[in-house]
Amino acid sequence: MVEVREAVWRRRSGWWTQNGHYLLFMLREVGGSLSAVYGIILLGLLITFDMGQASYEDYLAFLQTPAMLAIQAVILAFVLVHAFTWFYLIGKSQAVMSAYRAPEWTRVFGLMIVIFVAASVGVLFVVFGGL
Amino acid sequence: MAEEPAGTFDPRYNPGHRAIRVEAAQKEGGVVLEPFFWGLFSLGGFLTAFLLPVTIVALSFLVPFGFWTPDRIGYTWLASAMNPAAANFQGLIVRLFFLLLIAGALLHGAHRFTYMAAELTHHRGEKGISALFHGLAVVGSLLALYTVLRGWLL
Amino acid sequence: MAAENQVVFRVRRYQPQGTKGPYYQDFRVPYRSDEVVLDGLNYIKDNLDPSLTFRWSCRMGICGSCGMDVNGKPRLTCGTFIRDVSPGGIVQVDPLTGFNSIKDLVADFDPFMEHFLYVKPWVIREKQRPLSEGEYTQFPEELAAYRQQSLCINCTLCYAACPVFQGDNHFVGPASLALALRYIRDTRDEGADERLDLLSTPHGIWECTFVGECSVVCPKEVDPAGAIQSLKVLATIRHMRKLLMPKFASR
Repeated sequence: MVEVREAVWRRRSGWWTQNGHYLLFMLREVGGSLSAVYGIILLGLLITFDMGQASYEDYLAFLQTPAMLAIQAVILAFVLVHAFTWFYLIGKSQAVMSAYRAPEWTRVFGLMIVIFVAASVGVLFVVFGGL
Repeated sequence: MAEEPAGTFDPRYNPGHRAIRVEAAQKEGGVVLEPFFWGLFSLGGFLTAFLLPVTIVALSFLVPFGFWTPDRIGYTWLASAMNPAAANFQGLIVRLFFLLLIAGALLHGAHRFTYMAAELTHHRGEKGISALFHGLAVVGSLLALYTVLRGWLL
Repeated sequence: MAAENQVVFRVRRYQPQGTKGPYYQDFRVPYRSDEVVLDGLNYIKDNLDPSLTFRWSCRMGICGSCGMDVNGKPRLTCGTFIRDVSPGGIVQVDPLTGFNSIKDLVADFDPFMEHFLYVKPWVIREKQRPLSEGEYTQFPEELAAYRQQSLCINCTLCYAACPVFQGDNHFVGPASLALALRYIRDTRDEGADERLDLLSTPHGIWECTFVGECSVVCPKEVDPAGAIQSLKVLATIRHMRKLLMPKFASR
């Protein structure tokens, strides 16, 4: 009886580089994670605000140091990638989720963009006092 | 010509069942917290996608790049924006905004961190990693709730 | 007579009895503009090397047997024109990613078969209706609710595309989960609770991170990625109901 064995397959560690979709997925994952980092930054804002004017303004000054600005720029870039891939996915998945004749994903994507702009303007006015 | 099968016919009886390892797989057991975390992760994803980009631009970039004067995001601005006595519940809306944004971002990010870490460790210790990151996110969200209630109810 | 072109097929070989691992072998294959990769593989087997082993059957995209990685992408070789994948002059053919190979291009689908049966892909009913009452009827809308997921031909291209399955082959996988949704949405089926219990597990729907590549490669547009998101929503709602209103949890 001849011994037979299968050729075992293993995933490569750079698997997400071989494909544009995989790369976008990785960026989306990192973007989602980095948004938590900004959540911590915002939490810091509220905590130092509670501690008083001096602490708050020291914190703001810290956020505007070049290193922190660079980090926040990276976070913004990834958060934007996350937002737009999120809209794309909502468009693609809602057709199956609703089990009736759902609109084309491009329409849903467009709607998401409209809501995004409206929400941004709303936040600017309600929270930050205008443009 | 089709006939009724004799005797009791149990539609769930599958004689091939023992031949496949499905029974063993079924013993895995369900999840308790995962659906919650996923639901919060989804909500957090929506909130982060719509509200976070403009917040980052406003708080982090418009002043350093000279579009806004520093007092636009200074202490007096935040104090008046979060003023619970402000008209049209504006102060409360701003407090809610910060709470939702912080909690949403933390819970969303925790879920993603969990999956990325689980991938790196090949799913070993996944329950522990999940508990850790989601736990930290919940703690952060409670802290956010506390700071938002300060100056109003606390 | 159509002009003939030539292309190099770089095929992954593997002899199960040998001590050598897998290796690549190049074959010079002539092709016409209307020929597919499967035709090329059959040319190799007929004329160049009869020992080349691969699966195929209907050669028209409905049996799901001929799935392989062509230039790194999971494709049905009967539906992939050689002219479309030969710009570099080389067509690389590998067995489907994510599965061990038994010999040459033949993948071992046992993990898929296990997961497929795990979701109980049959109509589950408390009581069967007697034949005298006739068949179960459905409105067109009821059929439309699950029709898309019923088109799956079990070709496992989605498993090859899924990086989660590639990293952990205990993940139940896109095709099986889409099939589970097909039965949950079928109005004749009463097994939604039973299936959701099986699916709402660490190796079930919760392992999916919505990469979405499964839906991109699916030759029948089943959209397993969307199906899994639906299942996540269903499982979450049911979970909430079970905790808050246990009596009303069953569908």
